[in-house]
Amino acid sequence: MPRDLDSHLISMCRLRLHHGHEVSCVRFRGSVRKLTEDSFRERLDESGRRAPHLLVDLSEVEYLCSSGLGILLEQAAVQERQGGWLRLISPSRTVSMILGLSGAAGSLTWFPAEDEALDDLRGQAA
Amino acid sequence: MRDALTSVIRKPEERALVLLAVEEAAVNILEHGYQNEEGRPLTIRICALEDDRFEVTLRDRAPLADVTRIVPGDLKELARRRASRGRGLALMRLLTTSMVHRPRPGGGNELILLFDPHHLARVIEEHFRNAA
Repeated sequence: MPRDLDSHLISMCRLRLHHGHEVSCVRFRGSVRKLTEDSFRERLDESGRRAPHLLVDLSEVEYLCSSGLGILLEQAAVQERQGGWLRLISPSRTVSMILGLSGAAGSLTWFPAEDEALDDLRGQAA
Repeated sequence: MRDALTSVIRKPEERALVLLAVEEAAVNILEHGYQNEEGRPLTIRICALEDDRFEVTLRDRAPLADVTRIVPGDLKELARRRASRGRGLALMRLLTTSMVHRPRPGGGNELILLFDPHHLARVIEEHFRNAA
């Protein structure tokens, strides 16, 4: 089966301390589709509860359905209500294309690497 | 479905967009047509046409609903509101060259999505040009 149309979804979560700020990081591998969207939602929710700032690494996600996009937008709103944010790391070319075509490119922020996404936390330690 | 798509469209990015449109159509049927009731029939058929074009036909036994007559949500407006849902039909329209609905004998719907790889290539090219 071609990797880009695979239907599994694996995630890895960790907590990172950056200049006094706790940042929850979750990395996904696979495809976010109807079959895997519940798992995607649960892992985002679980990771988002750990810290107000949430980094979502999509570099190994080859497909994102529009429900998955909606889940990301919902989770971003949750993080903002906690005084934090949700930022994407390195979405694949296909995923960034889907984000753009869906009109979500202006509603979600993404960075090429994790450290760049955390740049503005420097000097803001509580 | 995934394997069959590989036989009619070679480029992974174009294939992902076709999958996006077809999955949106299928999810509409499951969520709105069948109200998420399990075990209801949904068949998806892919048929190659001339000039690299192909059509995907979805058949269900849900109550009659012609999605081609529904005005799709505005993607820009949905983005402005950061709406989490409502993009499916707009994406289907963006990615297909035509959508045809027919009632099925005995009840249900037939939805035919026509795809043209040249159109998909233009959508992709335009997206990356605007994003640059």
